Amino acid sequence: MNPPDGTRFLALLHEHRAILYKVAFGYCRNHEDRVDLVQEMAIQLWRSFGRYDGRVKFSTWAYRVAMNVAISHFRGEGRRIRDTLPFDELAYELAADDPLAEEAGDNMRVLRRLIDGLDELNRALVLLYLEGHTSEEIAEIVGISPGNVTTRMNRVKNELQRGFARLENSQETIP
Amino acid sequence: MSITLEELRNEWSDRSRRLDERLRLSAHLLRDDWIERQRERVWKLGPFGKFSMAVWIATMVLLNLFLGTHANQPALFVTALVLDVWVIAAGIAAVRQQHALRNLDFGLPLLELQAQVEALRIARIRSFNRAFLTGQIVWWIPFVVVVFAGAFGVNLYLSPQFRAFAAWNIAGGIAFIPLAIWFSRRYGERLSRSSIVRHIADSITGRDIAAAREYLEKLRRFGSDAD
Repeated sequence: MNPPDGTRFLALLHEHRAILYKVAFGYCRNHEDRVDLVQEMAIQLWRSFGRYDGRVKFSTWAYRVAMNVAISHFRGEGRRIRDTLPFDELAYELAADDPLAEEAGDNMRVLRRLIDGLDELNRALVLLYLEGHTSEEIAEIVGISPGNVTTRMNRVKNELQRGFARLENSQETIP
Repeated sequence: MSITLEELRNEWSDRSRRLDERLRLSAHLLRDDWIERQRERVWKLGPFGKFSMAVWIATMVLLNLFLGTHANQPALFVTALVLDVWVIAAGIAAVRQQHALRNLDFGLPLLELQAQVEALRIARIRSFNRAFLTGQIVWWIPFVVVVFAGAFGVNLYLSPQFRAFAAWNIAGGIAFIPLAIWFSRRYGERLSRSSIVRHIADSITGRDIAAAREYLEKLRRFGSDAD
C-alpha cells in the first residue's frame, strides 16, 4: 500500500465532502449521531485513501467508504472499528459543520420517516437513487447488478408509495 | 396519492444542491501538519492496545523464565508449557483479529465489505467462546500451579489436598460448559438488562453466530438477482 498523498486527499475531500453529510443524514436522525458518523467517515476515508487506485471515480469510492462506515455503525460494529482509528480535529470540525441540521419541508420529513423504516441496504439504494445516481452507478457502489438495482428499486418505490398513502389517509402529523 | 418518489427526488436534489453551495471547509484545516500527524498516529496505532501488549509480553517473559528455571521438573515444566501455548494462541488470535479489522478495505462495494465484517464477527465470537468455555479447564489450574511455584517456591503437585482440589476443579470446569450453555439459553433473555451479560449469553448459546450467519445469507440474497 502506497503512503497516501495528503494534499491530494484534502483537495478531493474538499471537493466531495457533501457525500459525508448526505450519507450521515440518511442513516442518522439525531444530530449527535451524525457528528460521530461524519467523524468516522472522514477518518476512514483517510485510512483507506492509500488503497484508492482510481479504477472507479473518487465519488463512487467515497460513497462506498461512507456507506460502509454508516452500515457498520448502524449494525453496531461502529465502536470496534472506531477503536482502530486515530482521531483528530479535522474530523471534529468537519462533523461540527452540519449544514443539513433539520432543514426540511413536510415532504422531506415524510420521506425521511419512511426511509428510516427501511433496512440498511435498501436505504443505501434509496439514498443513491434520490441523489440522482443511475442504476449502473448504484450497482457499482453496492456491488450488485444494474438489473438487480432496477428490480429492487421498483419494490422499494412501491413500498414507499404505500407508506405515503398510509400517512396521507391517516392524516398523521409528521414530527 | 398526491406525490411520487420521482417528484420527491427533484426536491431532494434541490436540497443537495443547496448543501453543496453552503458547505465549506475552513482553510486552516488544510494543513500539511495534520496529514503528518495522521501518518504518525496510524503508524503508531499497534495491533494491540499498549496495556494489553505490555501484559501479554510480560506474561510471556515470566512464563519463559519459569520454563527455563524448571526444566528439570517435568510436571511443572509441562504445566507452564500448556499455559504458555494457551497465552501465545490467545495473543495471536487477538492480534490477527485486530489486524484483519484494521485492514478492512472500506472502499469495496457494500455487499463485499459487509460480508467481510460479518465473517470477522463470527471469528471473534468463536474465539471468545473458545477462551471463555475452555479457559476453565485449560488455564485455571496450570495458572495456580505456576504462580505458587514461581512466586512462593511451592510445588502444589506434592500436596494431596491440591490434587483433590485440582480434580474437582477440572470436573467443575468440564461441567461448567454445558451448564453455562443451558443457563444462558434458559435465563439469557431475563438477564438482558445488562448488555454485557446479554452479549456473553448470546455468544455462549450461539445466538450471535446464528444472527451473523442470517445476515450473511441476507447479503447473499440481496446480491443475487431479484426475481
